[in-house]
Amino acid sequence: MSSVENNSVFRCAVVSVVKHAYVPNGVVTHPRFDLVVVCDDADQPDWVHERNQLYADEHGIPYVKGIEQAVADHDVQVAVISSEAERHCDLAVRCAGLGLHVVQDKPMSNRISECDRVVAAVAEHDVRFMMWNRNFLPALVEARRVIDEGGIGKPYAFHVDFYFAKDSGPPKGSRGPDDPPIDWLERQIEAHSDGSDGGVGVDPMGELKIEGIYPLAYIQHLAGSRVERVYARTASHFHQANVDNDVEDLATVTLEMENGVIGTLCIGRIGAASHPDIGEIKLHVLGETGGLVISEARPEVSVYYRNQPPQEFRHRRMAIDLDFQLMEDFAEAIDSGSGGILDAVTSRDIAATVQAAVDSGKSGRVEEVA
Amino acid sequence: MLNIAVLDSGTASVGHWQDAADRLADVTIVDADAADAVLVAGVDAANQAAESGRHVLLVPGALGSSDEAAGLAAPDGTVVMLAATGRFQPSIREVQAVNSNGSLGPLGLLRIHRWLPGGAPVGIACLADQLDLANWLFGTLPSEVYAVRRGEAGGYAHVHLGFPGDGMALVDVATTLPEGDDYYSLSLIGGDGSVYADDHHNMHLLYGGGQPEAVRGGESVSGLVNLLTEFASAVAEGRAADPGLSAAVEALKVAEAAEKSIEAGAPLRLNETGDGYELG
Repeated sequence: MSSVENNSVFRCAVVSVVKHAYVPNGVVTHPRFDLVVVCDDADQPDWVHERNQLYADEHGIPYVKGIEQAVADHDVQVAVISSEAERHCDLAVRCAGLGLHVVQDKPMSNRISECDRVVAAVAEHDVRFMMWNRNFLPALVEARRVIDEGGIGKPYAFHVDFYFAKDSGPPKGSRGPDDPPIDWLERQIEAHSDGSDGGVGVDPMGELKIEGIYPLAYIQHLAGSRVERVYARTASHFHQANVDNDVEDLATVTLEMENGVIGTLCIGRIGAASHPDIGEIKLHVLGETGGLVISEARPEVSVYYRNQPPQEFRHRRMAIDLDFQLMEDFAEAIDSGSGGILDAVTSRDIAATVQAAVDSGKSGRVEEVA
Repeated sequence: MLNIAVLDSGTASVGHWQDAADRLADVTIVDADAADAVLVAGVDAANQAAESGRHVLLVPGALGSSDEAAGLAAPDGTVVMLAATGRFQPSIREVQAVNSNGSLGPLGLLRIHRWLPGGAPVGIACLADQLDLANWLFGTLPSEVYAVRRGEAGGYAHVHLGFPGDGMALVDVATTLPEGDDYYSLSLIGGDGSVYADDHHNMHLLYGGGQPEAVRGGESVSGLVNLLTEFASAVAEGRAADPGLSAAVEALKVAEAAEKSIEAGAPLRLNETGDGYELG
């Protein structure tokens, strides 16, 4: 039975929405999820309240400064968290403690200890947790089908290229000798207008922490194996904000996984000049009897016309059913009590892999995944 | 006119070399006794030909080690060139052209996938073919080498390189594809731009019932034509050919470092003198 055939609707609180509105917007693509309130802690800075209020106004729902009060007053069952990264886990733990199921934006956290708190809270309060992910993009669904049907035999190597062809403030080398270093949070707040504020928060984060969950979730989803050892190279190659804050915007990662499986990752925010669209995102998978090459963007349609705005995508993704399928999976997880597509334990393992990669990039050694 | 005898054709067929030579006015494929240049594999054959005054085009796949490659002789007046076919493929030349003219800015990341059928172990020479491209594109030896191998027959190797400054590269070579076509993909990311040379992008579709088949739009013998053009030009101009012997030695050194890394399970670093790799 489809989850949609179950008539119960989950009332959702948007618990801080200072970053990407695509998470709560994605949640309500499914008919069983309804946004009923936006909430946040009252002691948050003005810019946080302004963004929360704006989202509440756009959706015609109230904004409440007080999470516990909002949950109590609005009969909420699900929390949708899209705050600054360092608040993600604390909000998730508090919401789990209130008995709410949790949908959380990436990254899970910038600290593994925080991820561990979420794993414990979700288990203790018997609620479901889902990190937002892209595992149900059409190309990933196709890749999974081919592998599951034995099209390449037993897979043994997974390679993902995950480039975002976006700029991120002034280019590397542009800071004058008397200029102050770029403040990370200020830069991220500014970047909200063009959607490049994935690293919003006080603590600077490199591309591995900001975006790494997506490609590493692909590998985990397709391989089903846990990463044990990591070797990485990292660099601040493109953007002055990354140089000033000592966080990478380019990385290569070798993953040694359970059962002898190999994974690799190329990831970077490589500048708008590097690709006509969002970036080259591909999967190369080798199996014992074949190989598979997947373009994550497809299916897509090409659109070109006179006076086309330079920021407009020329190649547009089609038939994206991601949001609905994620929420369908989450509804099924709630109904059945199962883990779902990217639960707290798996998300925590991916965060630990990311941390090992960051550490390896600095140490130059192979790092064990904690 | 340069008369070349194909004594060992390497991975290309004799017919392909002939087809390439047919496209050049100043190169002819001849029998060995009429040749003033030879295409050979192996150090002994190369040195023997060079000592007899013949120019040498050396198939790289037969070189077993950097020490062996260092024993290659190039007497005065003799051109000895590495038949590094990858460097001369039109797509790869385009990559290097935009790299060397500065369009890409400072290099950040190279990714190569080289997948082959056959099931043979991925040996040093096979790795060196691709590592030569990495050395060439970055214009220097890597400062760090880490590698892993998989497959019962050793039919898969992955090499992770770090270059001085910010540069990095991932190179994987597999021989585990079923019988049929190979697959190649090379992408290069720089500070100002990127370039993608990828078989995936160059596939046609054949509909013959059921799911369509992919048919690769190949580059024909253009790579061999480019290679022979450089060889013939070097001979005619009396200059060293590019790539020369040092490229073979350096690629093999990196491949040997990869082998050591596989054994040790740890990265190796270029030593202070820049002529070898060590753990630590």
